[in-house]
Amino acid sequence: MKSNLDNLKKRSNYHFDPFKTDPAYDTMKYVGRFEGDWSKELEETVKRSKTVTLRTRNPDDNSVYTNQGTSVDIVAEEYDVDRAGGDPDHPIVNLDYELLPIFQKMADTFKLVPGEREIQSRVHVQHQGQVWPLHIDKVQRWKPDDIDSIFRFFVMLEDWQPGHFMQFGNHFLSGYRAGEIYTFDWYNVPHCTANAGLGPRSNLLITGVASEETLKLLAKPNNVIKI
Amino acid sequence: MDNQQEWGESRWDFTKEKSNWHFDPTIVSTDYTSICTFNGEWEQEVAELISTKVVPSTWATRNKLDIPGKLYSASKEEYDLTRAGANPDMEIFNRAVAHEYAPFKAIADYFGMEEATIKFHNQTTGQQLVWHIDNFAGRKERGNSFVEIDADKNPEQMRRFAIMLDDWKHGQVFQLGNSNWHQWKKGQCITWEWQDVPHATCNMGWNDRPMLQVTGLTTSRTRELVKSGSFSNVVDIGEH
Repeated sequence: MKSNLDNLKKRSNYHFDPFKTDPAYDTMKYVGRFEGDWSKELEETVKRSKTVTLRTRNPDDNSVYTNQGTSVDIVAEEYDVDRAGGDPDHPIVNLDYELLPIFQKMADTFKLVPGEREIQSRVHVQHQGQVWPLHIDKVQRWKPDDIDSIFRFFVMLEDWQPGHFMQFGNHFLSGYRAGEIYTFDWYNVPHCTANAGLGPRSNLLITGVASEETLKLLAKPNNVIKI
Repeated sequence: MDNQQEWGESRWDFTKEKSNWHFDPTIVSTDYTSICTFNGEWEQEVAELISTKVVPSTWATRNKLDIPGKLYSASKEEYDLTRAGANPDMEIFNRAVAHEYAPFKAIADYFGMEEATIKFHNQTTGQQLVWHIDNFAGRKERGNSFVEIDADKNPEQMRRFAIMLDDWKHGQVFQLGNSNWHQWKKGQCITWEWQDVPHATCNMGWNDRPMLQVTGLTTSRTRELVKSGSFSNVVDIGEH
């Protein structure tokens, strides 16, 4: 199939009804929050993060799913952008894969383990004007025979500001505070992000396979973790 | 001249100073006013505008339809974009004038405004109108200059309405103050306090987002419509 999105929609159980709210999908699951001060480290990370497009978003990924840092699905992904009249070279986000110790410590808290791919931890810094268009994740690549064991966590690294857009299904995540942790149904829920605000929108994204410790953490309703 | 506004380097800083909004992202507030829902058929007009009339706009070129030369506010707006790390030449929407289209003229007439301008916007994938406060830079009262107009002193004299021309689709966003307006239905119309409420729009989705923007000088009718506004007010736009 030519279209990445059309292909992924077929496997999704999401309702794709703009006017329906299904709590199973149109939401982000709140996991808890980190407490601490990482403002200096974040400042450094924002400075050194690198701008990427859909084509260049996996610079350090040496898996079979990339070819010299470009997704093997790039033709289908760029087809979607072309079809909608967008610019395939539009910057989607800035990334930093070299986590500073405090962010690595956050990532380690989830006790994820590698599957067919290594644990992926990176900081997303989205600047004004950057847009990551609507998509469904292909995270099944971590453990294709047990997709329920794969988790993706978001750690918000600064307070929400107006103009910071994160949409999951029909739900807009807003009003969050620095340190809050979320996860979501990555297999089914289409999502997108953009920044039309005045300051950067930064979050840590960690993906991997759940261990028993991960599941224990998820079983608690409101984790508070001091960093 | 006495009546020239002193913006300094930044449009945002100047307009923020004039605003009475709270600028506190933790407050849960509704920062727009629903006016009505227009009921009518305009798919053909939208298709024609998208296929033959609209032109892509940046901040600097968004009022080319009215002002052929350099827009007086452009350098202050580009300063804000650069300061925030954005590309000053980013596309914000595709735009066309829409006075000649009967359903859109009928919509504009409903507001009872004088000297109304009718603009058609289509925002496509990746386009974004960043966080800003209105100042109606393209209006003829401004004369493409920093002149202070009567509406700056009495903002009730002017008003802008936005009318969505199609149902909301995933990935489309219109944020006004701390309110995130989405899941709109075709024909729904809102307004906001233009001198106070910052707002932004973006299309992260894969479908066109056509919208009508009507701006003009208010009359008592306009003010009454705002006072009694609700999406449950259905306004039929007849055959044209």
